[in-house]
Amino acid sequence: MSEILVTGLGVISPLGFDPDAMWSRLKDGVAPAPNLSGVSCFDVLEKRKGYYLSAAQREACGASPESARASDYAIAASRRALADAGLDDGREGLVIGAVIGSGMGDAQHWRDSRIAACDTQDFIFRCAERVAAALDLDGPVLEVSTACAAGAYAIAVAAMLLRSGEADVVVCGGADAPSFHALAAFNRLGALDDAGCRPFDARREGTLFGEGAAILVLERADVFRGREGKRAYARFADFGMSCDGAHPTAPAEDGAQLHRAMSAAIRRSGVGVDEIGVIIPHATGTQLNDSVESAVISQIFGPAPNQPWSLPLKAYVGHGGGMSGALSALVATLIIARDELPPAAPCERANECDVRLPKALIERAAIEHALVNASAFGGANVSLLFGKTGAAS
Amino acid sequence: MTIEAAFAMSARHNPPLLVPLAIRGCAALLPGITSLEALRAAELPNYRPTPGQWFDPKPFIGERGHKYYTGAAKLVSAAIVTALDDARLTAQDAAGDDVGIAIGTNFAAHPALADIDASMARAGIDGLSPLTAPHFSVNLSACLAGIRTATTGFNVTLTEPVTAGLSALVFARHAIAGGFVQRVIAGACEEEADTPLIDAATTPRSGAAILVLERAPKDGAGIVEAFSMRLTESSEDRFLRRVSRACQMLSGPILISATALRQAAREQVADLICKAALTIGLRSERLVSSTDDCSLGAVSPLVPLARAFADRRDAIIVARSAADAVSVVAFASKRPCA
Repeated sequence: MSEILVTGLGVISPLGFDPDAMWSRLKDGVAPAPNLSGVSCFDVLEKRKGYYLSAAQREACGASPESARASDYAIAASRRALADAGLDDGREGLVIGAVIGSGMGDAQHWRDSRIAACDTQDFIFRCAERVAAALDLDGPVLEVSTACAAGAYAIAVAAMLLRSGEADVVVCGGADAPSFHALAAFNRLGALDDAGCRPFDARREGTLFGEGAAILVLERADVFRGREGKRAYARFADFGMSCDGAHPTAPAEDGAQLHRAMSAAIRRSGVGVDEIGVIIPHATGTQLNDSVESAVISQIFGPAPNQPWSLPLKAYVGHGGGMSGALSALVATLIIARDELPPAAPCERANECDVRLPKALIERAAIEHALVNASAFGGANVSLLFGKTGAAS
Repeated sequence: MTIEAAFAMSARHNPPLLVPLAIRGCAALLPGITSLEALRAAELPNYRPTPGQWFDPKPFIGERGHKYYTGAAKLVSAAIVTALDDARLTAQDAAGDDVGIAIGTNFAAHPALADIDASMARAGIDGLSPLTAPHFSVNLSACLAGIRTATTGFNVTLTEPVTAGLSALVFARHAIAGGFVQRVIAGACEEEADTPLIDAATTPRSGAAILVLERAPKDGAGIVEAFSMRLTESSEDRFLRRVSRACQMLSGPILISATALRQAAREQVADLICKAALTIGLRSERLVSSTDDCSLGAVSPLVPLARAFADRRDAIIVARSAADAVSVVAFASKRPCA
């Protein structure tokens, strides 16, 4: 079986519109202050902060300044990712699919239409088909909506399609835009922390939303070899998935199914636990998620000093919903490709969160493998494992 | 062509066949149709779901434990119970790490989102119930059903317009072939909404269709092909090749069902499948609506599939979105070359 490579990256995030800009901000290790969404129809919720794009940034990536669509972000990031992979043209004969994950899709656009008393409604989830149409792709088109794990699940689905020969290349990842309904629900559930998203922090009180898209181009190595002058960022090793089957919104406190997803990704990859150099955890900044996830990390890897590094990304970009797991995957591949590990945002690590956080930029990090976790409402879990190209598996 | 020869076809754009999926059980809960017997009597493709309250979950999932479910969650939970019963399986057989759930939906969250808007408008920021607030998440209907059955292999919701129900079967096929689970409860559910769909003379209606899928022997009956692609002028040949290969595993006259928002789109794709069937001398019967047939969203293409299963007829079922994404499933009631 030909291995699967990550050959292109595209990102639309509050930290930048390309991986270089985002990487530079991450290396600084300074978490941005939460801001207001500027979405005028957020009504009574308009003062709830998040990690949002400015109106000018939204417009710059082809989205409405006031009320962006996730599918606009997905198209913009996918276009960048395909160009980065050298596939913006010259892709004749290749079957290229689009698998996009989104928790809310274009729900805000749908709401805007209702408010405007439109007498018809559109489908909410059109990210994948809009990406495929905009980029003229004719491979498989699937949209995965496993809430906050959607982007990571989309990458797993893409890997299935590549391994079965259904596609040569898949544009995959996640996208989400500000959504009144999600914000209202999280607000009602008391799951928002206006002070910022502070994963693993003793002071954490909840999460904060982010927005954007993170897209990876995955392709089979035998396809990529035919394209000269391009390098792969990393190798997609394998994945594991599970479902708590326990509670509609909260993670199961025993973490057994998250453990199973992580263990399956490691086992199926043929990688030893001691070969994993970094984990990008789901780490939402909510009390239960962070304590359960850190406990599972300890169960698998031992106490913090023996663990791989953990880099909780949401401290920098908030919780991007369906985008978040894909952004974690994108950063994991950058860590492997650039041989650098950005610092975790400063925090007062909670006693119950026994994880190993990098306090400063680590150069020559020599990380061979990176594990990415994503979990979601409904108890969905998925873990992705990436490795250095050429690393044994 | 023998099964072995079909399996041996592995050209780059004609990917190797995955193992077939046996349909162990099936259920369709639709307005006016709550059993496979009723489905067999329905006039397809002219069946149109009626609006309004038609579904009582109590006979299926009891009186308690679902008060705060979405309508779609009640439907999919009931359909899972019915499909397991049809498969002569118990709730225990849906539990555990070796079983996954894959559900397609387009409108399952629409009423919940409208309710959030109405609650906030009526009673302000505190008007929202914490028990129903999570329903904003479209995957919750499938997840609530999965909590009832303690299914822990995975619980995945797919949402592309029109095609998502068949895509759930595509996902199931890859998940079983990849060794992630032994059994997948797959299908689609929808909940009624109040506003017509854009560019379609139809309004979302409620319903659910569920299949219980397991790995079949290499030459076994069941779902022998399931794939997704985008049908464009340049990919038409590839589509025909895939469908022709699927037809070689079927016995005629096969049922051809095409679901799409626009009549021209479903007629064109049905024509292509007929052409593919004809090239190998297979007779076919078209089951293509002359009026809009997408009011059941992701459930729509599963209705003729469930009918084919109930009638023990071979079929090729396709759904096509406005952006020309298509998902295709080929069902063999028996295998001619076995």
